[in-house]
Amino acid sequence: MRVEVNGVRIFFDVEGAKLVPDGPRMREKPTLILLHGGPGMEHSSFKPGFSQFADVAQVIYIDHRGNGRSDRQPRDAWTLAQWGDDIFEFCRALEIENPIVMGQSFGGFVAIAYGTRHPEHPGKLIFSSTAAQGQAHVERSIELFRRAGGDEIAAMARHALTVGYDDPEFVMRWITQAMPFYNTNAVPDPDARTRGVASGKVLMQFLGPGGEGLSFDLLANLAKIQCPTLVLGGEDDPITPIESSEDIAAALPQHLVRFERFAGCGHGVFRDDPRGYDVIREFILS
Amino acid sequence: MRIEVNGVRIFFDVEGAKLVPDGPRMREKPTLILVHGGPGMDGAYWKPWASALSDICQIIYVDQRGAGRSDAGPKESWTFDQWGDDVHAFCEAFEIERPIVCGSSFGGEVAMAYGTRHPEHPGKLIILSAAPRLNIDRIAAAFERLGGRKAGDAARDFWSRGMTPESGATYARHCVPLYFRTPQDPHHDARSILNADLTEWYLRDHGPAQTCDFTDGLARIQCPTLVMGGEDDPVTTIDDMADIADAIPQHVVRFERISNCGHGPFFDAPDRTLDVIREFITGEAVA
Repeated sequence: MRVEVNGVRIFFDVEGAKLVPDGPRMREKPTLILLHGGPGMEHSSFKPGFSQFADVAQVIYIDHRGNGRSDRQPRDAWTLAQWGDDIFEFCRALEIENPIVMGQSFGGFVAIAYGTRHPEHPGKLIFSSTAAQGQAHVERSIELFRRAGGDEIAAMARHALTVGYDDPEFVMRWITQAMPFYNTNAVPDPDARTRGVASGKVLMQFLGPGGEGLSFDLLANLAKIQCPTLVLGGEDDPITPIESSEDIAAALPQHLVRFERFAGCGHGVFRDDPRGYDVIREFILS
Repeated sequence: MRIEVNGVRIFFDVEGAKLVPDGPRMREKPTLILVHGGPGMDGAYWKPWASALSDICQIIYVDQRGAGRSDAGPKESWTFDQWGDDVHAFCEAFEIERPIVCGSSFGGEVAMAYGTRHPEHPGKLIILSAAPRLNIDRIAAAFERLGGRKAGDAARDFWSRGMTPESGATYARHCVPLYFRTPQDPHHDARSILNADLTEWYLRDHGPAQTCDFTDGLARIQCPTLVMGGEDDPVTTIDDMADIADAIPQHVVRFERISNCGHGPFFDAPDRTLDVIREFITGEAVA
């Protein structure tokens, strides 16, 4: 399905009923909104893994504007502020209240933008393998890529993180050569890439030279968060190093934050260790 | 969730993903829109029965305007034309293409209103336990056969003169228990949201229940259509269902009559009804 949000058509998919029969009443489940990474990827990266939450939540997958099956234009609206506001407006358009909003990687940037711009809105937040700043741990990230993949991969990482994704050929090399080092234990799914609708343009605008992805800084804004927040990070994640998750956890109001760090795990801890899913389930139910 | 449709906020629930990973591609499942009966009830009664279909389609449960968690809207808009147009506009709001629209009882009549007013829109139609128009003689005879003279008289009085508090109470006592052939979930009513205003409006003298007639319009249906009802249904009789099936172009209609089955037909024959619908949606026989 697609629905009009802030002037563009946003694609979303839904799994799991909101209301389920439970004896004499209809029991209401919380709504879990999943924000995918990239940018330039789309919601299918959450399937089928996150289908398992359909028993405890109504799971809603969204393609951010400029991504996947959502409208691509206008390009000047490809900003974290707009992407964050889109989540808020999406919920308003559909009268979704107290959502649990989870962002993975780039989706976490958007979740941070949404949560800090509309702190009264979410019921809970999950920041998964993400960062609140574009440039905080570049040298650490390069070092982690070196450890995992050697000097050539480290050089590519330096280019990606300091210059940016400046040409499509580099993006393809990054995807095929560097991305395999994002995870430590994930079973590769060779079909996953062809299942997605890729958008190189949004990737290169956001993470290209001068792009917002290399310069944004929302760390101080995290103090505005008002809802319970789960921070998930992998200690071997080279692209959003665990230090980024530490920064987020430290910047959030301490009575609201739960920080779970996973040893031996990379980017998207649930990909490397199924206990990542258990922690999310527990947080949804808590 | 709720969405603005034709000036009112319409409640809907969703079950089952539209896109599922299938090797190198995302496989797209058809969208099944369930239109509940009543009127004055809501979509709660579809669950959990219909959830079993979420592996082959994305199910969308809709509360019509005036019902359940949807806005009431102005009473004057409580017409079959409007309810039918709302289904169409709901799909347009979400870019749902070629939906399978399934309605039961009053919802089956809404599905007919939608299908005859927008014949190019649905992918398939499923009409369960509905009537093309009110046939009081058939209803009275069916209730009399199942419940004796008292039930027959109560039904004739209720359906012919518009509902009054007295005729409603008599009908509830003598007729409603005859809708089903099997014991029903005792919690069904408690889980439902009822809107008595809408029921009264619909059943008033010269109201939509008495005046609707889809018989001629059904010739416009263009998509595969499943018509299914129970042979022991006293309120939308199997002869009414046969009239619907007769009025639809014969090359697109499939008519299923279920024996030992009352109004629903999933209340009395849940498994059989599921099998037929599954086969109709997938085009493959159920093992």
